[in-house]
Amino acid sequence: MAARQPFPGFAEIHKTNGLMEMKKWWLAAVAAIIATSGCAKEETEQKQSLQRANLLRTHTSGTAKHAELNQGPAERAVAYLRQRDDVRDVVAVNSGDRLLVAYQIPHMKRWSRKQIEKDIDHKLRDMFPGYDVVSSSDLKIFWKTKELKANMDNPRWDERKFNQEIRRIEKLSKEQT
Amino acid sequence: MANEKRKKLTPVQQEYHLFEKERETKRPIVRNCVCAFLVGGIICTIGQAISYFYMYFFDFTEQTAGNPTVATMVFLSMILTGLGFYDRIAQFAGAGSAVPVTGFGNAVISAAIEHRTEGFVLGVGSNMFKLAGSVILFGTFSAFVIALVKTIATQWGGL
Repeated sequence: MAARQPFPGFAEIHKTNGLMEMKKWWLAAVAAIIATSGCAKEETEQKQSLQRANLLRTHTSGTAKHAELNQGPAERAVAYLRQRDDVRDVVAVNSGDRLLVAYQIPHMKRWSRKQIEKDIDHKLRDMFPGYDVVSSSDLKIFWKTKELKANMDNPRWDERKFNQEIRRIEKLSKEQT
Repeated sequence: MANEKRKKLTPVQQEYHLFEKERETKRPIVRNCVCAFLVGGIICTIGQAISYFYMYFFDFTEQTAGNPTVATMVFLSMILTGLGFYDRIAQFAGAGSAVPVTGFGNAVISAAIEHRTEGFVLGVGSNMFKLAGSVILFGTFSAFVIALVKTIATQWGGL
């Protein structure tokens, strides 16, 4: 009868440890993949997207206060950009002689992002010669402009603050570093 | 080994070479590629999430969020290297953990840890960029070459 070994052999320990280590790694990898794929759904992004929203509606209450700010140029800019196939989503606001347009470029068309930006900027400047046009495809500018537009429905909306915010976004869009 | 080089070997060396080739462990290239792809992708996803974090909560645009994101990723990899966790990731992922910017942080800190016993000035100070120095040198040089190519292409190439 073979003598019972009190301790498992080195190779056996090594094998068990190796298997456990591998299991751990695979579990961590699977957890990471699930977490990242869950994030990839971009739920908040979809909620923020204005693709299904009525972009032309800038005020709902119809009060004189909101009617003061004619959003005609912004509406025309949105209508023009929505026709283009190199623009996925667009939001625009205008105040005084300032027109702020933010848009998103489809993912695969971002290769020629600079060209698209240049082209859109030229077209908008031609369309609105009397306006100081600020256009950007930056996501942050898009979020901020969308927020600004949403705030126009707020009863406590203030035109002075609105102009300040437009200037701030304009400054942000020109920042390089 | 290339055939030309093998011809220069003595018969005993050639025999040994064949003997060694039969017994050497085969590298799982496909598995390594898949691991590098997955881990590299996960690191990039984390980087993208950090970039979105800076854009959402601070006044960074898509263009300017890159700088704090890179700094954060390098800092995180430095911490993980110090804790000994990044080495394990690197063993599993290989190039997937070395190629992203996190590999730079790992190269700096691992060299610093290695030479800690030689003192802070002559050990850590002079050896810290032993590995990362080449990354900085060739990174700067390749950036210069690409900028040169771009300048030529846009100024005279009409692109």
